[in-house]
Amino acid sequence: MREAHSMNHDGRRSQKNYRNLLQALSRPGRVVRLDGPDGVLPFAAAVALAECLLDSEVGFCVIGNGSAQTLQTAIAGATGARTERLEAADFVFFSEAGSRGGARLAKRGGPESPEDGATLVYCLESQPAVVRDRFRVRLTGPGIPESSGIVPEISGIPLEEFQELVTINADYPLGVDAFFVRPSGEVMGLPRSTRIQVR
Amino acid sequence: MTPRMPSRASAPPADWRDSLPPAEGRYSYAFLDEGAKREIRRRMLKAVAIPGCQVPFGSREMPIARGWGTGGLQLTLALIGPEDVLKVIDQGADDSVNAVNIKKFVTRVTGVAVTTDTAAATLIQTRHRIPEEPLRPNQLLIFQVPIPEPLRLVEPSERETRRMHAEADYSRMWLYLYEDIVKFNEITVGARYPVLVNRRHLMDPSPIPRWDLPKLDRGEALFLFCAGREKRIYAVPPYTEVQPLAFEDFAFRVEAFAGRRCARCGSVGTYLDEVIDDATGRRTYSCSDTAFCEKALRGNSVKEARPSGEDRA
Amino acid sequence: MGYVAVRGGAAAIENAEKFSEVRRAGGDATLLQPEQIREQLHLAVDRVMGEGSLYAPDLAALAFKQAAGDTFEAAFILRSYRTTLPRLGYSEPVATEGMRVIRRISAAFKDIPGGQILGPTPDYTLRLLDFELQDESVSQTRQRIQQLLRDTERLQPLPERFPKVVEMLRREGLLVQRHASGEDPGLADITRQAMAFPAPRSAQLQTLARGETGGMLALAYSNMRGYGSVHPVIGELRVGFLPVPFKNPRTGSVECIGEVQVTEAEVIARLTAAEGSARFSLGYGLCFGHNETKAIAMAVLDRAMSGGEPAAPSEDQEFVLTHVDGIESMGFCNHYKLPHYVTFQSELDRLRRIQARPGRPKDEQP
Repeated sequence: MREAHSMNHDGRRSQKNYRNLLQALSRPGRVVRLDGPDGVLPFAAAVALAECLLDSEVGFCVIGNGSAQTLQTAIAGATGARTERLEAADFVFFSEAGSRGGARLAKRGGPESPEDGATLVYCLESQPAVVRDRFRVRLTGPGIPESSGIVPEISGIPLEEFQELVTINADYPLGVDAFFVRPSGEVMGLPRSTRIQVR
Repeated sequence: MTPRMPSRASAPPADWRDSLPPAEGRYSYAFLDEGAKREIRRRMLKAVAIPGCQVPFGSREMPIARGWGTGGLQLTLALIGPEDVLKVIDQGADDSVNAVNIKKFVTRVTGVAVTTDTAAATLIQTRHRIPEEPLRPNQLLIFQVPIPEPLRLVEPSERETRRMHAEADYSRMWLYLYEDIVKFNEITVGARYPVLVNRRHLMDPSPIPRWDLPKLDRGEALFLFCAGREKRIYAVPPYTEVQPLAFEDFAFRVEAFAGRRCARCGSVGTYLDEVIDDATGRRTYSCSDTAFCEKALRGNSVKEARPSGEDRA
Repeated sequence: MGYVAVRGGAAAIENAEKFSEVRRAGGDATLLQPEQIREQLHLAVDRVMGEGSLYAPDLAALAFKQAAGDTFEAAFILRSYRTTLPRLGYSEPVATEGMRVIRRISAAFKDIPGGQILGPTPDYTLRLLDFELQDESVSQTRQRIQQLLRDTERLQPLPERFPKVVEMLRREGLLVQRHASGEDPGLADITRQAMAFPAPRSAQLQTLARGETGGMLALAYSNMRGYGSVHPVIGELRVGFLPVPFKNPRTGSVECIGEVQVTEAEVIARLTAAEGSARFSLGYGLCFGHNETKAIAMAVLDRAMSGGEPAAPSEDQEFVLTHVDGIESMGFCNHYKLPHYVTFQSELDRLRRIQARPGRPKDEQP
């Protein structure tokens, strides 16, 4: 057998990014950093995530304002994944910090296959207008050491979106899992197992 | 009836070797192709998001046999990168034949560094043990799982157990343990003791001894489990509640070693292997975690092997 | 110290590999060429291709040589090689009616349109040890074969295609319609998705097509013998070559890129009273290469699993499909050779504790 000790550049970036995504989802509320491909700002982090998880075997959907098309083209180009209706997509990307009610329509899996629930990716702005909202949010559950809970490390997520996720994931283990990414590469994970309280 | 001779579709090439693809570059980094890695990576994330829930995946055939760690191996290969330091153990031992074989394969397809030192490893693939040395937050422990379904003990049908998990209907498992107590005045489950994860999913912790179960409860590392033959991935994230099934008046108990110590390093409070000497028939005990034993021996040369670690058979 | 022998492994593993090499090739006999295996042990090669689920006669012959004739091991080597191959595309569906047959029989009718073609089969040969093969003369064998080929030249050539026997029954409305995909509109891919139960028929047929011959035979035999209700009649059994049509991605036109040899079996069985109307239902079997036992067993199992409530193991889809894969069953069976002393220690702890409890019933005391 021939050894293959060198990993190509894209493979290497995906592998590193994946380890960070795994870290993000197993430590909800904490921020990790992804390494994005060049030339796709402001969606470098979203494309980096797509690149390491999406391919022709999955369907994705992009929701949002004018820049949604740019994001969709970038993801399709980087992964070869097929676009899909929101209700059937495995991955749903929001080109902004809120889902505009879209998250509610994403699939949550069935009782015998909760793992079929979608993965949501929210693209946050680099300089959020409101940064103090996050102190009204408390996260507890698997991956969070403090039993009293923690405040999410990333700011700029509207409180209504947290409320939205509370509702969507009320029927655990059915639900959706979310990543929040910033153009700088910062990522925070919020799996459905995280209990969210908004004050 | 007309006889007719069989003929092959096309004449074989003059030299059969011509039809083989070239050896160069025949295997990609970490053996699995990128598509397979991505699928495993997606499934692992879902497993982390729903602690203890078995996530099906399209398990690939590996060049080691089904049942010999192909699940753990696929996770290792989907995760590994050039900066990783790998440790592989079987029954707690780094130099057990199967562990050596898996290490040999992974280094052959990745060239990563290997170690026996638990603290130095970033990825640890294990069969049947959790290292004695506490794991750190950035370490990943990957379990080889023969039978991922904890309910298989009471129900052979996958269709049925899938339903039971959906409804969190674990009554038959409780009944099994209860009947055990009625019959034997004791829970007779040895290794592979069923646990409830995040108060929701009943999980098979793989055949680790009961001794190791407390290490799963609110541990600092991420625990990943994979059954290659049964095609299931599941996980226990850090700081997740993992409770062995037990009754109020029948507490869960780990294996008792009656205060015995390792005959080699002198440690007390490690999981011990019982070894019977051919010549004398005497029973001795030594650490099942060989790397821990080595470390204790080096760091603690004053404390020599003590005869109290032995016992007359 | 027996258990400790499983440690200190690297050198031991290497030696074990070397000893296997000695067992495979250490004798005085001429070393086997894969080409000899491919041509003269072709039934073994076919079996390895089927169970290894890769149509590659040369590689299967090589795997068979490497495995020293162990079909489980050879299929396993081929299967794990298969996983490293990129999937470049999908061939177009092909109707088996157009098979270039070398053998084709029906047990349901005395004569069938196109005729019964016995082709190569040992079915009617007395199974007496042929001592002449001990010192087979190359020239005599070649001569015999050439004579046979000359004789057949004078016979009429076989038609290009034979009508399907079961089509006659279908036209009469005697067959129940079954779909390849069952309830599921798409085709499953068992190499990419873990199976969920009830599995669609496409997943069922895929699993059986790469199942282990012996395991499938045992399950099908249990049904035929009485642990089940299929009383099969072989509607048609065919051995032959099928074209592999592939759509050229550049031109879009469909081209034939090769041929595969397959065995196909269609068994007919009557519906039971519980299954409804007085009609026949078909069981379908198809596998790579020439392997009639497997194709028939597959068809019987396919039919056995088509009913509602299973009354026997061979009729229980989950039971059959989770146990017929040779790579999986053989791997798991052999994994018990791995050390289990940690779990065994845990068991010992339990038993000793139970024994030590006071108030155990008397008869259980040693």
